Amino acid sequence: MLPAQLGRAPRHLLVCERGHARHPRSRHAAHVRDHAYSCRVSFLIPECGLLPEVLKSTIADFGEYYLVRNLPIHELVAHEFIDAFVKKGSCYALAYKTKIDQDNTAALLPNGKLILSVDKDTYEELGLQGRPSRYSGKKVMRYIITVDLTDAGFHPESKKHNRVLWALKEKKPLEFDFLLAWYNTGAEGSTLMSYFSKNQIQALKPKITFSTLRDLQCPVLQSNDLQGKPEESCSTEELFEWLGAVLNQVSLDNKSSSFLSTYCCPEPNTVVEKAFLCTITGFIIPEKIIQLLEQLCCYFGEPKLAHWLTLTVHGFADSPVSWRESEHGFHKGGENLYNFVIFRNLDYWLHMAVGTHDDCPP
Amino acid sequence: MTSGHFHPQRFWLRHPRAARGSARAAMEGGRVALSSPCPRPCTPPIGYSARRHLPISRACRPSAPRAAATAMVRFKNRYVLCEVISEDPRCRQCIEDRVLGLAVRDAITRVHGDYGLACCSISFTVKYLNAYTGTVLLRCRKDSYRLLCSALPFVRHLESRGQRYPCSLNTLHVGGTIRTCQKFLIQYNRTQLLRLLQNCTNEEERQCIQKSLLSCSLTEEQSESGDEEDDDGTETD
Amino acid sequence: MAAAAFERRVLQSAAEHHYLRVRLELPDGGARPNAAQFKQLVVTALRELHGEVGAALPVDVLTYEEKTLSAILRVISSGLVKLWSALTLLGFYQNRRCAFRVLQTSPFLLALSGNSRELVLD
Repeated sequence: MLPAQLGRAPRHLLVCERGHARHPRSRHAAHVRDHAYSCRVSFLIPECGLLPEVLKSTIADFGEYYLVRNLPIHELVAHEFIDAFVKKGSCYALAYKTKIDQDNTAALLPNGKLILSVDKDTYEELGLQGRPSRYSGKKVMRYIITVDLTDAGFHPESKKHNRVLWALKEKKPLEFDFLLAWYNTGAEGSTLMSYFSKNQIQALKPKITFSTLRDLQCPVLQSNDLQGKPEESCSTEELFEWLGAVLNQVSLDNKSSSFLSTYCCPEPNTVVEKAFLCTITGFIIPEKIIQLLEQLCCYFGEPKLAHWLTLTVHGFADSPVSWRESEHGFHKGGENLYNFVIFRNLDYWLHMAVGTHDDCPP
Repeated sequence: MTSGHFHPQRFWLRHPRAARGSARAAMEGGRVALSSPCPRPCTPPIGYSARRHLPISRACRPSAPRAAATAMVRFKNRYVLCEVISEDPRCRQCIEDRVLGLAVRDAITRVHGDYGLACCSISFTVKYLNAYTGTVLLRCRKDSYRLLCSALPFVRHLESRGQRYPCSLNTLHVGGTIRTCQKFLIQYNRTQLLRLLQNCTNEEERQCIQKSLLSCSLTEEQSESGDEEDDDGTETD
Repeated sequence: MAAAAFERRVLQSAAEHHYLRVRLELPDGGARPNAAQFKQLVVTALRELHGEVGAALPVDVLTYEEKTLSAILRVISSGLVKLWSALTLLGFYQNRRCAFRVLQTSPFLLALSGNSRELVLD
């Protein structure tokens, strides 16, 4: 009917997984750990008016993160920093307010890999070894440089280290506003706050908002059936869309003949008197999300009215990686997010969604 | 053309006037079938320029770019052959290039909007038009012929000199070259003639139609001529 | 505890709908469209650029806020390009200049609830 290019929508992927949270080989925690940078976590508990104390304290203890202004990137490569933070815990850093499709960006992964996503000119000026971006097209305009800071060959006297330091310090000094977070178990060392005290550093707390939704229509789900059956349960895609509608405050009670919108809650559904929605916004590290996930599983330890609850995590659209070290680009939306549905019997569904410039999630 | 040089004259010689004449006869044989059950003389109606009644002929194609065209990428077109159907006999008077083109453009704008119009406007023309039989050949770019074809049923009237005549367009064939459309039209007209032959009531009509039938064939001279267009894209995709 | 069988489904470009977060920009003063008028404006834009075929595209206004003139639209995936182009090329609302800004687009409605580009952390 149409020239083909008009009817085509950009590529995207939605991966749905089903498993059991207590299964010894369950990989759900690994999926959370592999997704390094998250900007928003929300969870929805149906049939819940008041949050249990345990969950409340978990949320309150979501840790703080830091915003460092105009941090020269060579400071992250300095050996004092590597020894004090990178090797002693999980150190997360992500350039703030840079756009992956037009600016240079940098990110430090907890496994000690520093990833720079730079345009062609900067790449040529830097003179560091990298590889062309996968999503840059035939004429490469963007390059990815990966520096492994914990590599044995990256000791202070090594040629490699000196070259990287020289490139980032003298050849082409790069500065970013960085979001930083550090997670370590046990041994207390110096803190990021004191280490970067001579830079403009700001400690920030995640913003937390609560709301109670009244008379919410919730789809009926069967934990062992991802695809759903008509008249019996809803499929995962329907749930995924419904959850988006709830989080965007879309009204669910439309008629199919309505002029404005024909969206309505998937069938079959039940009306839930009240549902608890909590949203946490900030630079959130996976360790905290795993803690929260554990607490949410424990929520079903006591008998509850709810059949399931959900936990949604949004990634940064402009981070250079999505899952693990797989490259991430913006294209039209840069979406990378995942969502857990945890059932009463601790079965879980996991949705992982990515946009056009992304690998398939693990 | 073994020497590699291109001789327009030699090329010209391959198309004898006779071929043109026979093609004309064939086309006009078709006209008889479409216009009325009773064969009419082949004089064009008064008030119409002779140009529009020129039969489609290969010799009319500009010959010089032919050699160059093999080296270049050609713009691919689609030719849509359709007939104008109208209850109103006066409608035939207003079948003109401009009027029909406007009506089609108007339908495209209505159905596919500015975007569709812009897509179809690239190299859109009324390539051949026979007011007598109501046969119309439209040309557009290959990319957008679907837009054009889907808009054709929405042509509801032709408008000329403030008068509106209800009519509709019936798409007969979509081809990649004018030649395939011509072949199709001859074939189509022949079947129409055969159908008429069965319905004949008197001997005079019968003879007239038989004569037309015999005359409507695409002469062999053309296919022998060597520069056969291999892209005889009868529409498939 | 019956160990649930692990199952994985990969849905590639299977989203039925695409979602757009848009904002209408109007000169100060003068009437602001209500939800129905807003939808009508979107359909008008589609009809202008893509004709009756475009106007017949199923477009839903999921949310509309009259105060900020921002809305979330849902469109069938094959019509995303048509809707987007029609919104971009719309220039007038009731003979006054106007413009649509497409703020975010995604095949997942959930993605629209957390836009890291609009995030203000400090």
